Amino acid sequence: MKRKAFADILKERVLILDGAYGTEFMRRGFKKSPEEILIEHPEAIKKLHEEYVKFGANALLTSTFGANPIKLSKIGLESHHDEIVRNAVRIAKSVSKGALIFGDIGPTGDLPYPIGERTFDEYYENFQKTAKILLEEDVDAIILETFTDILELKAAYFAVRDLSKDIFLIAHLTFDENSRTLTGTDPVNFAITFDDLDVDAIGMNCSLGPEEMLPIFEELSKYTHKFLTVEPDAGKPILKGDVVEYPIKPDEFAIHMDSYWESGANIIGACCGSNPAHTSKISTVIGKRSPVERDEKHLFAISSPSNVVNFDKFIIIGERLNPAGKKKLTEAMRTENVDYVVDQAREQVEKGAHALDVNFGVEQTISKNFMSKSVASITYKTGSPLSLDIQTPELLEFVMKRYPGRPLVNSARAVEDEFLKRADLMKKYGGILLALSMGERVPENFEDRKKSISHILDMAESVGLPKDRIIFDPIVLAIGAGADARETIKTISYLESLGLKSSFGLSNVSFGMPDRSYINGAFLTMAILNGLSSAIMNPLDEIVMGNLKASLLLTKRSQIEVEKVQGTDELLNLVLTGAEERLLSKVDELLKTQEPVSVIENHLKPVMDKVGDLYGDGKIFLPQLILAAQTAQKSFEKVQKLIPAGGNYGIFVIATVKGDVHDIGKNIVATIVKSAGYKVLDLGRDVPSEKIVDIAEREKPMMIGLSAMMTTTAPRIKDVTDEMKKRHLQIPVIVGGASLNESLAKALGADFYAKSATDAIKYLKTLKIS
Amino acid sequence: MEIIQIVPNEVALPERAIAARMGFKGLGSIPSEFRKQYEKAMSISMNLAKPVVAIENFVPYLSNGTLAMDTIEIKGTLARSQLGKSVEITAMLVTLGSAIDDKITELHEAGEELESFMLDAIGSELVEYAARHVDENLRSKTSLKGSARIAPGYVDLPINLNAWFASKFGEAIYVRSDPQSFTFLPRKTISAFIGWSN
Repeated sequence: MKRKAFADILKERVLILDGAYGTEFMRRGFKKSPEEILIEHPEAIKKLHEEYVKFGANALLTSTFGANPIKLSKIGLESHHDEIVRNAVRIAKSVSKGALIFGDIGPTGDLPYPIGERTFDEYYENFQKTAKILLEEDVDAIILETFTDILELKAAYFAVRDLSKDIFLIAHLTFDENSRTLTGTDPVNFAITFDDLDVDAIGMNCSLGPEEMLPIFEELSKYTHKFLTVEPDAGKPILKGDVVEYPIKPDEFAIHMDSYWESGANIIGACCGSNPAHTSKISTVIGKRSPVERDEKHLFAISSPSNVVNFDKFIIIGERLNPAGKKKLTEAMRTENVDYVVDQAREQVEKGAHALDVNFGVEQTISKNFMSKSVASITYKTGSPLSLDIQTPELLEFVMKRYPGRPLVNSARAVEDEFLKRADLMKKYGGILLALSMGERVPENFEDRKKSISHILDMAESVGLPKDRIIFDPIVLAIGAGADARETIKTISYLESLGLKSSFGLSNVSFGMPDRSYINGAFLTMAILNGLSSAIMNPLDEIVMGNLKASLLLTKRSQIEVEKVQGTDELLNLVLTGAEERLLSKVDELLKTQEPVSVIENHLKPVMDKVGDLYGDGKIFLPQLILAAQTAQKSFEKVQKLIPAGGNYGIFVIATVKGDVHDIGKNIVATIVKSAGYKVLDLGRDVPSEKIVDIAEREKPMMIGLSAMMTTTAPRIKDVTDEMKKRHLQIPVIVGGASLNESLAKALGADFYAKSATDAIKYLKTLKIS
Repeated sequence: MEIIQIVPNEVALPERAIAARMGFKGLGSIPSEFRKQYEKAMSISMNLAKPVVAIENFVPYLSNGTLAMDTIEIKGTLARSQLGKSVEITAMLVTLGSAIDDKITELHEAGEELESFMLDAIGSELVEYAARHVDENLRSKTSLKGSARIAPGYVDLPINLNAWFASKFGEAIYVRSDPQSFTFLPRKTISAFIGWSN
């Protein structure tokens, strides 16, 4: 079937895809993989296909999920690759009775470099071998399903699309309950990355039941304009004796399908644990429906595998991955020292860069292998999306094709031949283009820049590159060479008036001048005031970063927001998102291989330290800190119970002083201290001084925390410290509350003043457990 | 003395104020990640809070050169600047009642610290905006010029004035103050004066 004809069908009606093969064969008593069954018992494959068609499937997957050379080599069947793939298609066709045949391609099971060892090119070559046979056997569509990594999926996509522009192509990722794939991609990232590509439908399958998958699918549907496909599992598998069972029966499964249809699904099937009865129920519920029209959002964003950077806020693009004037980086690139490059990248990200510009200097001296390894390492290891500052068209194309996400491409001038070539690459490989508001010559003033912007917009429109995939560089020239920086500012203002995004290379303005940081900082402030969207700049320059922060606050474009502090640290993600049950499961997993003490010392405590640092650095807000502490607390308690005598984690006594009934601050501190593994004796509010000292004398805590909100109750702190002196108790006292400050705390006899909720932990760490 | 019951839902309670109270500084709203918990806490607040205001007007006089009304002297620069020229002074005591306090404690004891914290923040803002609600109503009904609404404990307005508020109005709306610290119980309670001048 031709691609367009397929798309026309989907505009008219929702298609029902078949269900599981692997798990269904297991249920029917087969112990081997579908590929082996295909060789040894082709009649079993044929029978299951027949049943799916009989029970209402409009489309069948060929039994080729694992039939790619890399995967087949793991079970010694790579020499049967051609035979398996061809026979799989032929068997499906022989019983299809008009149902469409989807050539199925699954992942290799190997992770990409630098998480694993596989390269894009190995994936590409591997999948192309399978795709070639599927196309020769004239399947109606190819589906890439159950992929857990966006680079591997991209490789599979190009492997197919490079062979045929006329095959209907579907790409699926598999998400975990945290809405991310194994290597960290979320559905928004998937949508923006694959919307740029020439794929027909995107979707998801496997790993989650229909209820858990729905919110992830809904998120995907909001951001893509492609057709949508979905195949949830029949719930989470349950092991009963030797038998694996999937709990969601056909009736229940079909009820959920209504929600998928409402969210815009065009092709609906079922994955692991399903069988023809599920297909029958889905068909009954959804089978004759027209698709729902969707209203998709467009994001002006770039991405790495685990991070989407949206230009709705001001974006800092680190400039330091550029060997010009940097001996060590030049040497690292010459010797292909990827680790050094990643360290340079990480430093910028830690200092606040949202994305990184990567420039390889004299590109002819750099190997393609080093380029692609550097790009993969930076994006996977730091989570930062990249601005690909690569000038040689072939090298740029090479890297764009292998980029694991949606890049920024830096750059194209308003010169027809150059711009159109870049536009072609953008359409083929995806991304956002940084377009320079200059032609062949350096612009002298705003009018020159304005003409270039107009020319770019005309050229973009002529080739169908939408405006929301272009960011304009207003061109910054060195004032030391006589340039007037105000012409750049006028251009930024003009771009803002047209609703267009802008980004520039900040440091150019001060080239050759003394006091560069001050010039850069002031110029950035002016630019932000006039609407600059992003800058390629040095995040390590504290003066410039200080100016930036202040400018954004003053222009109400504050960067204050809830940071998505997510990445590859699973435990951190779990505590920050309040995933208490999943954290407990993760802790159970850790306890299978590690001692309880190790789980606390090497996992839970470091995570809460990180949370404390994030709060201290202003990256998370107080409610996030409380949620994280509350979430971690149960895990700590659980593990501590496994340690003989509960372990020795030190006691912290806390109370609100006599006469004070305001205890919310005290409660928060108690929760945070508990979440760091200490035993907390919370004496409550309005506590008499004698009681606090009595308990301290008896329990011998590491520290006493006292809270006093009112000026009238602050003196009660002194009652406690005086009583302690009287009894010769040498226990450090930390105090906090709205009425206190550092000097008053000292005057009241306290050892420490807690300015913020995490200070108690900070000081506790400096003390030894007695 | 007049007792005014306020329907919690009728108090214009801006989300930005609650967000700021919770520590989401500069955001202007509750982030989507916390909206579910926020809405739950808000719903609990609206069910449990019983805002009530006890209010009375007094004619001020000078007692040995110090501003006075009823049985109290109102000392300090804040009182002088805001109430000094008043021909009449309104005293009000606003409380949300004790149910919300109890729920905050209950949630804390159950380990639901975030919910407890959110409820506390909403309660603090709700009582403040309930007072503002009454304040606006009073200003709309008079031709006199109103001062800023000032509360004991702020600047140099003595906090022990809360004892007078509790003795004057407390019985009517079930509020008491601690004899030493002068904090109110229930905790979501605030007191205030507004001076009215020609």
